[in-house]
Formats: sequence, C-alpha cells, structure tokens
Amino acid sequence: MADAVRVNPYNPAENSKPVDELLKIQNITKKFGSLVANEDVTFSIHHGSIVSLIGPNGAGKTTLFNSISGYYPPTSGKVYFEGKDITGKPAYEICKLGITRTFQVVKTLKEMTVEENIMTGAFLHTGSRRQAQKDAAAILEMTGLSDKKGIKGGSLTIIDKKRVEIARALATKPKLLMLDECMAGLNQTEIKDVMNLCLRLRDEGITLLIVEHIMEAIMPISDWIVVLNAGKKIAEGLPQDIVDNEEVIKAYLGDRYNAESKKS
Amino acid sequence: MVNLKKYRLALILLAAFILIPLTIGNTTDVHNVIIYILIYAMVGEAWNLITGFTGQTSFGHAAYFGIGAYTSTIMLQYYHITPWIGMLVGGLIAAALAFVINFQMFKLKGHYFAIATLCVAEILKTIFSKWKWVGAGDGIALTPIVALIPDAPKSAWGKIAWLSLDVRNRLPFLFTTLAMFVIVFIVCAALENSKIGFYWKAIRESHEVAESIGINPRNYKLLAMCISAFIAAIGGTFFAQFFKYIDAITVFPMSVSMIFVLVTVLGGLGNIYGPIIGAVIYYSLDLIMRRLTGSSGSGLDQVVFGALIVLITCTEPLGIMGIVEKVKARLLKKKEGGKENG
Repeated sequence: MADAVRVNPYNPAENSKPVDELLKIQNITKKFGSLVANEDVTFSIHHGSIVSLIGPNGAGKTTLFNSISGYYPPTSGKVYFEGKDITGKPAYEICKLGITRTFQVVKTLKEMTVEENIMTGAFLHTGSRRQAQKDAAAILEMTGLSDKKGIKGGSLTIIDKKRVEIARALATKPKLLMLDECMAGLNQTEIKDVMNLCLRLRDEGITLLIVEHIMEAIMPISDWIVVLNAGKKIAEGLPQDIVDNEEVIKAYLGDRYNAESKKS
Repeated sequence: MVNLKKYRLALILLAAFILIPLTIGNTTDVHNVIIYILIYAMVGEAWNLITGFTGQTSFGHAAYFGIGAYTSTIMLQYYHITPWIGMLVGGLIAAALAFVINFQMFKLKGHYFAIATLCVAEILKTIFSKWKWVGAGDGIALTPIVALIPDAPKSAWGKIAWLSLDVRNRLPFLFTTLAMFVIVFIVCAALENSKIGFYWKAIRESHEVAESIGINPRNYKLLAMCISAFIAAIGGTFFAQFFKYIDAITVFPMSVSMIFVLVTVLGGLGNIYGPIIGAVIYYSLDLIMRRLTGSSGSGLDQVVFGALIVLITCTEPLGIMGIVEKVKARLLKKKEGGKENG
C-alpha cells in the first residue's frame, strides 16, 4: 500500500525536506461582541497532508473554519493560501482559489438529484453540461453514490447526505478540502468508509483539514493534530504525541481514552 | 439531437395551441382567452425564473410588465416605431431598471425582499398615473395603424400589420404571440439545463452551499432578475398591443403581479411547464364559469378559484405539475413491478 512508503511531512524523523506550506493561519482572532471565539490561533497545513482540528464543543473549531473559508472575516490575523493573503475574501472567491468546505449540518440541495448536486459543484471548472456530467460520474463512482444518482437530495439517508456533501465539494476540484464533522452520527462501517475515502483523497494529492470528534477515526489517518480549547490553541503535534499530552487529555479527551491508548 | 420524448408534453401543448383556435375554438371569445393565456404564461415563465428557479420571491413583476407595455406603446404612438423594436427597447429598460433596483435590494432576503419588490411596482403605478407625458390618469389608447399611417394596406396579414403587431384579425396575432411564447419557453428550458440554471437552483436551495462551491449569489440573482424583467417587458408589449389601451391602473397594480404568481403556483413553481399549464387551467375555468353564469359579475368564478388555489397549495405545493409527476412516478413503479412479476 501507499502507506508503507508514504512520508508524513510533519514528522521530522521521516521528512528531511523543508516544509511545503499550502495554508498558513497567522494569529487569527475572531470576536462576536464580547465573546472571543478564536484567540490568536496560528498553525499551518502542509501540502498533501491530513490535518485535524479537535477540541471540545464550543472550542471555536467551526468559527475557525468559517474564518478560513470566508464566511466571516476574522477580527484580526491573516490567512495565507499558497503564499497569497486571502483574509476576508468572500467565500465564492476562496472556493475558486482552491479551498472547498463542507458543512457540519449537512446542506444537501434538496430539490436536486444526487447527480445534479455534484454537477453543480463541477460547473466551477466548465460551462458545458456534458463535461460536468462526466466529472460528476467519476466522483459518484469514487464516493459510492452511482446507484443513487437519480434520487432527490432531500430523501437521502444521513450517510448518503454526508457523502453528497463531500462529493459536491470534491467536484470543485479543491486543493484543500475542509471537512466539518463529516463522521458524526455514522456507524462503525460508515466511519471506516469515510476514513478510507479521506486516505484515498490524500493519495490523490488533495490536502485535508478535518474537524472531528471521533478520536478513534481521526487518530489513525491524521498527520498532524491541532487542539483548540475555549478559542485558543492549546497543543499541536503528531497524533501519538497528542494522545499523551497532559493538557489535551485534561481539556478534552478524558482519562478513558488515555488509558485505552496506553493499553494498545 | 433533442430528445423528443422528453419534450412530449411541450409538443402536445403546441399542437393544441395551433389546432384548437383553428377548429373547435374558432370564435373570438376563445381566441381572446388563448391570447391572454399565452401572454400571462409568458410573464409567468419570466417570474418562474427568478422565483421558481432562483428562489427570490418577487411580488412586483407588474413593474417590468408595465414598463414593456408603456415603452412600446409610446414608441409606436409618438414616434411610429414598430412594437418589435419597442419590445426590445422596453425589455432593455426593464432589465436595466431591474439591475439598478435589485443591486441593493438583493441584500434583503426572504420576506423582506418580497415586500421590497411589491413597493417598486406601486411606486411606478403612482408615477405613471401622474405623469402627463404618458397620459397620466387617462392612459394611452392605441390609434389603429390605418389611422396612424394612412397608406397602410388593409389586409390583416399585410406587411404593416405584421410590423405593427396590429390586431384587426385575431388569428395572426394569436400565432405571433404563440411563436413568441415558444421562443420564451425554449430560452427558459435551455437556461434551466445550463450551468446558469444549476447555479440558480443551488442559490434557491442554500446561499451558503452556493458560496461554498464558488457561486457569487448576487451576480446570479441579478442575472436571473434581468432576464426575467426582459421577458416580462415583452409580455407587457403583447398585452398593450392586444388590449389597445393602457394606463397605470391596468398594467402596474398588484393584482397584475398576482396573476403571474397565481398561474405559476397553480401550474407548478420551479417547473418549466408550470406557467403554461396554470394559465390554461385558470383561463379555461374562467371561460367555462362565464358561460355558465352568464357573466363574471356573479363572482362565482372568484369563489371557485379561491377554493381551487387553497386546495392545490395545501395538498400539493408543487402545483398541478407536482401531481402529474407523482402520478407518473407511480405508474412507472407499477410498470416495473409488473415486469418483475411477469
């Protein structure tokens, strides 16, 4: 498998080359009135890696997502994508540059079929309906939705809605794909499917930023983990280091996971 | 190759619109009704673009309809310019107005936007009912083309009659309106199946999703509104040419905007067939009622329409086309089930 030869760009023991930054988040602060949702968050994402953003509820993960993807401009701080400053640009322009996000609460286009949902994303790079349909077919295949392409978005099950959400984002051919809790509410097999999909996308050269709660799913696939708590970054590191980090355990993971991971 | 089977319903409708006025409906009464059906369905298609496809409720399409009616009428009456050019100029003015107004108004969403659109038509109604140059409260009555241009040929099918869209014989006018409706229908169908149509629907379903996949919602909403206004103005021109008299109360009031809403919602919101099906049912019922009760004075038709609309919107929000589609899906299921059993 590709995994055997793959080098984690974040691990100094494996990677001696200088880091290749795709996205750089510098001192992002976001305030809503007197509420500070993000405070001075800084980290960067390397080309071709999977970076996960974890933290308890209300830690400011989705707010940070919105700041990066252009839904709210940050109060202060900068976002650089491929070296260019993209802070405060509108969401549709950021998407055109190559960053596409999904939503925590899935927003399937209800009155459109699965295929049409994905074609809408594919139209970013083509004006031709035929080409969009062709692009959509490849993505339907990859996400396992081919046999459901004629079903309206509104009548899908939750796993399929989440698949469509990812597929539609993929159709825009992003360089950086941001997934917001795409595994929440899924069962074990379905989570495995999404994990495999993430790895496959990474192998195809797409960089991923994932917000997730399910540690069992996120730890094995991530190259780097950033932990937020109460709006601040409290730790970042390789997955094996994060599970041993005292502060992270205290803030978020709880003793149970710590004990389990030590056992294995 | 265009898939003929896909457009079977459209072809049946087209055949009916050509054959009925020539055969069983060869009376002035029926011709009038068919012309109204076509004009209101045309503007219904326009309204459907912005509200059915793009999801921005407009209650003020009479504004664009009225501008089309006034522009072509003034150009014909004051400057003797054919309504064929008048309708294009009217369309461009309506589209420009739609652009200027909605550039700011699209910052509003949902009900607030709908209320704002309502006001635009009302403002125009007031302005046009006070403006001396456009006839103020008296409106403008179209002079027959023979009086306007003395040496015009008398034949209804003659060159001048075509150029002026003159209605001395209803049939040529009916077929001209039908041809224009077919063009509008094809344009709308092509738009629906293009990138633009997909983007409009994405905006209707969710602004956030639209933005996340690289769509600038305001630009696409403005595009929908401008195209919609242009078509509505063409409908307005046909109305003015047919009715031969316009004033602010005839073309700008809310009741006119509501006809477009009504026929589309009745037929099927967001469905390309919605406006034409809705208009056919609305006006056929109107005709039957009038024949039954002797005149529209009894008000019975209004009661029946009210009941019909309540019934349809409560049971099938996607209108008559929604019912048709459900029946079709059920039949298809039955057919497949039958195959499996056999």
